[in-house]
Amino acid sequence: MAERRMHLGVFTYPGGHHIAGWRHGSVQPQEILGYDYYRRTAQAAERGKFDLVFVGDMLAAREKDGRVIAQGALNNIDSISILSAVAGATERVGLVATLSTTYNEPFAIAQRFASLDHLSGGRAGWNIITTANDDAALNFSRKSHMEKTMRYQRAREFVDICKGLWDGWEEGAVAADRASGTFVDTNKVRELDHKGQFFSVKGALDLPRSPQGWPVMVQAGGSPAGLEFAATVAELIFAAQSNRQEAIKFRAAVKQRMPGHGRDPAILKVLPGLLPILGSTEKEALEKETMLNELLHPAVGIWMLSEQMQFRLYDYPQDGPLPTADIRAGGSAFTPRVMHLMERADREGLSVRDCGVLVAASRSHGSFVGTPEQLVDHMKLWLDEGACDGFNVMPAYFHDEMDLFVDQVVPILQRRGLFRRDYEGTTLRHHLGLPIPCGSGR
Amino acid sequence: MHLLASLAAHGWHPAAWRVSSIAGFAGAAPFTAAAQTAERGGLDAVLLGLPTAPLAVRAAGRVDGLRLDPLPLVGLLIGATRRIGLGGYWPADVAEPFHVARVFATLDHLAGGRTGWIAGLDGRAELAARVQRPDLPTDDKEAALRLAELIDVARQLWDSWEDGGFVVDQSAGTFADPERVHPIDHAGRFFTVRGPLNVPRPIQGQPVILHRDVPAGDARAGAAANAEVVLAQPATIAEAKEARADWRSLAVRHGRDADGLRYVARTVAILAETEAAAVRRAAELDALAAPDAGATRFVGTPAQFAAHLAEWHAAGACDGFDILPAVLPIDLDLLVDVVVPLLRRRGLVRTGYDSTTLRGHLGLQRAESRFAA
Repeated sequence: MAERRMHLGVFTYPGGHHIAGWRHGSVQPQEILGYDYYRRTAQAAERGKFDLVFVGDMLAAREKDGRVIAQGALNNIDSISILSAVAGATERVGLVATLSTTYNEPFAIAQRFASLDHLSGGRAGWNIITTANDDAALNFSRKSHMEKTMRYQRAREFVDICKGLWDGWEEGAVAADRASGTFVDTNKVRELDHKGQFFSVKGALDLPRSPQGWPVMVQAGGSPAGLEFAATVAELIFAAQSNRQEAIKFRAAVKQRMPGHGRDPAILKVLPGLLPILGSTEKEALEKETMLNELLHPAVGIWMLSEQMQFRLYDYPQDGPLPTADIRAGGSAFTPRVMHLMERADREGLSVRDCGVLVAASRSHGSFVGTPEQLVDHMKLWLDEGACDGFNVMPAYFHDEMDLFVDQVVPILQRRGLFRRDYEGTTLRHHLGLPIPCGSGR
Repeated sequence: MHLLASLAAHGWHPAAWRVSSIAGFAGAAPFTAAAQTAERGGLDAVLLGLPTAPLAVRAAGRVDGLRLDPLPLVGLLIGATRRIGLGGYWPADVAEPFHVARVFATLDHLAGGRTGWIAGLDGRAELAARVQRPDLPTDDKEAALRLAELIDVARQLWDSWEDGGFVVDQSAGTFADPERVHPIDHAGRFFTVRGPLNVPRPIQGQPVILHRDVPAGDARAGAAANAEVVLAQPATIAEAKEARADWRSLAVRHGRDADGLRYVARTVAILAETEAAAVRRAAELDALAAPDAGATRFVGTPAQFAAHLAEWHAAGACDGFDILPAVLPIDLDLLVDVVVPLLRRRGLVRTGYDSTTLRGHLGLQRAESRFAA
């Protein structure tokens, strides 16, 4: 039997995904917001035949007590801007941008993604988020963040409207008949007339149907509400499980829910984040990891931990044990990631500082330290056991670690029949084996 | 004299698509080609996304009313050009200042400081059905106030990072200086925004604010607080002189230097080697579709056009022009290949780019952060 092939994305980031990655000597930190920085990443991804380049979205600064974190890196700058800029410098690689349904209007977002799909020749994807951090509300004239269930209800309606708008133009609606003067065959343009709980939208986009019909629908986030939303709309999930058994359970859980929404589970692709730290020997890789963790300012780790646990750890001794009893007594609704970390801290007696390093080093996604051969074994195991359909690679720092992956890991994956040797199509849907939407708004 | 060009896929005459060599819908390709042509001519900027026809006209299907979102289009052109400024229209009717500031700060970083935001309103006729929201202004006066506040908040957000805020000192491990990154704590009539922005200060300090024209009166008085380039469509030199003087005096009333404002006259151009040929082209186009009654337009030879621009400029009617090529690529090619060299010979436009930012091209100063000591 032919090996199941994996799908690869790269998650770009200013500096790198290890929170101290930007301090690595090979990084030119003044250039991490410039065009060439992103162009280089996208072109490396295309050289490595990656399925896609991924950019996240945050709508508030990283802060502690009302001030930006001095040692913390930035989040991603605007995703659509980055990906449209690199679209012209690449030909095949998919471009997945993140935009929030909580702080946008569907008409504008449908138009924006249709535009990205047109100008990239069918390579656009939309990572649909509802924005998890409360601070964003304060930048959008709202007193408080919308409650989670409401956010997902709004997201579903938002996405339905976008699909209706994308399907408003039939193929061939642009007649451009010079003799008769008919530019648009208006019989082939259907106006949407939507009235719902959150939105009323009437009209048609100012753009014909884009090459993919709809951008690839991507989702990230593993809460119960997020999981149900993913089962309803997602074709690709950017997952965050760092534990294989949990990843298997998560993927099965989403797939199990899909038929209930009239969807074929076979199309779903789940790509967990993976932060590799590579060396030509295991020892070299471990030394690289140690070096990076030494660059990590302890204050950053404790800040990230406090944010994730919604619990202030600043006044606890850094070398003392993680105060899991106090944290649990705080009564927050913990994410599976946080629960997992607290269990591990109890079991292994981890200190506050240790936990901070763990969280900050990989931003709580999966990481792997070793040689390229070992990494491929690890990736194959996850794939074979049904923990994933591939990975969203999160280089510790750009560009050296990305180049290392492309030049040393990808060839092994290809040799072992686990990854494509070349692109076989031109659209992101083709790379991912996804169907083209039929055009009926569903 | 400042020269800009507004781009539309086929051109600005409603019949352009019926005679242009460009296919019915060709995606971004015509924009890339036109921006590169304009850059060859050393123009200050190309402007993207300004509407070519109102919704009611577009809906009838007889004009090319297709509109690629100008924001990704600006993004794409960053990689396709090196020096020319890139202006993108983002109608402010329903926009949020944090989004506008974040996107344009990003674009300005990616473009090395070549971007400008074209601010303005699409109006209720355009948006009423598409975005139905009870919290949006229902009259023009309110909408103008919202727009002015939105621009002000976006500018505050760009200022929220001082130049020294983005430290990235690798050896010390200091990424940002919290003392130089400020919440803005804006609480206004339409917006409450805490800030700071989560993108460091744009290369230009603030991307250039280009403003669609606003009729004289309260709305213009408000717009003059922020507008750095006014995109107007005066019909005569006298009208232009009066409007320019008004904008400048209103800017001064806001405590600004009058020379920090560029009043730019927009004009459709139909050009040909002989005057007779240009007139014939115009007649042929008009026979296919009636031209927009409100548009100022010029029909003639490149030499006549150069003389016309020089005359307006010498009269103090404007600080420059936004040329709307009637048909692409021909009218833009003639502008760049014939009109621009004539203007250069007269010493009216520079012979090449002498700066790297849009502010530099326009002769506008870099914006300093209001938070800087």
